[in-house]
Amino acid sequence: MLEQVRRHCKEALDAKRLDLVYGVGNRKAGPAPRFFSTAEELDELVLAGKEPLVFTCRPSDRNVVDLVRERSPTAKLGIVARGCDERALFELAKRFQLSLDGIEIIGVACDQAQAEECRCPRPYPKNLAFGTPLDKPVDDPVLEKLQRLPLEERLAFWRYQLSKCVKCYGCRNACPMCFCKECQMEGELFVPRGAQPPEFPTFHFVQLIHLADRCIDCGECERACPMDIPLRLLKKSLRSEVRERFGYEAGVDPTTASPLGSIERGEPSHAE
Amino acid sequence: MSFEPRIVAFLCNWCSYTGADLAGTARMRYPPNVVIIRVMCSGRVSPLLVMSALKQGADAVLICGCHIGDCHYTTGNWQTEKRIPLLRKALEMLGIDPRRVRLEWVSASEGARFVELIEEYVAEIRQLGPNPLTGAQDARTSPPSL
Repeated sequence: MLEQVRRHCKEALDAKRLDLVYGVGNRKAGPAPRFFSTAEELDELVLAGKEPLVFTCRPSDRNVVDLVRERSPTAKLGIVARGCDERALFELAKRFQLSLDGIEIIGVACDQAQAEECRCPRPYPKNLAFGTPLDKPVDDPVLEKLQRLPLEERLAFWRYQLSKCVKCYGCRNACPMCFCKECQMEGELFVPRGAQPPEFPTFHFVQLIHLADRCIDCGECERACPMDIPLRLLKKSLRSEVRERFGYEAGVDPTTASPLGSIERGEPSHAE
Repeated sequence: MSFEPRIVAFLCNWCSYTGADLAGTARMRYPPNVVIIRVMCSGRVSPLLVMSALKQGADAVLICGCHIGDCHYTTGNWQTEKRIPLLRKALEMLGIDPRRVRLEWVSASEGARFVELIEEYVAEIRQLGPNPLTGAQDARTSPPSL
């Protein structure tokens, strides 16, 4: 499959259908996101690595794709995207953080092993070009265990887990959906300055609530956490609550707006 | 001493606060366990404010707004109606009983209903006991695992 993707990208670059390809490249230090502008460079393209391609750059708080688009507005950009990458692109585009104009999404499905490693509920993109999507979603055994715990034990679990927090803001910095210029995890209103570990559970609750209808379930927060706090569990359960209540899943569809940020049919101010 | 719940109630200016006011001017009695905070719209009540109240010692938080369709700002309470169930789910996943947060619609003429609501909710929270988020607890004593 990798050879197919490489060939597709090379042909597109040679035929000037694309000016740049964005994907995961193999480096000495391991796979990392990079841009490819020539056919030779594409020999380094790989389909490994778990980090999403789409991330927010600091300190500009701009998305990496948006920054590239700004520098070369007319360039035709191909993105070798997995399910999580595409969800990030769609959701950011809906929230006016980047434009999908002039971007070709080269969708690649993850295999069973990758999906299980990421505990990914949707390991394939909508614009699927290569690979076959898994027909059975991967379960999250940890989340199921958490849901079975009685309330008091769940509270004790989080009290312990969140007390490990060193307030490094890694979860927020790694999150492709955390693009706010002013972050309430830093504001003094809800998060007292100097408290270490941060106040339970307000600090993490701020991010959880803000990401309720945004979280694309890429697992970056958990991967970034140096203290191994299972941050994804809470976001995952809120994501499925949004799906059950409103039929909305962040990033799955490029046009449907979030129910929390829009007025729906039947609501009083909805114009037919 | 028996447990007396402390409830923070966010009331919207246009309906619910006026409803509570009606209960007051009509000299209706209701339990003094409730602390009222007037907001311009129930849609202004961020989940973070609710969490703040719970952290600062409230045993429960009641949010009251205009009935659906009656919102002074047309769609404010529609947003509340979508937001609060998600908040309750988040609390549940954290291990806090979601009954500690409640959303109700109270109109300006429903003073009597407001009194009933407070009586009922205070009784419910009295059953539920104190909020586990308040009170000092050492997190590191019992590390449960999954």
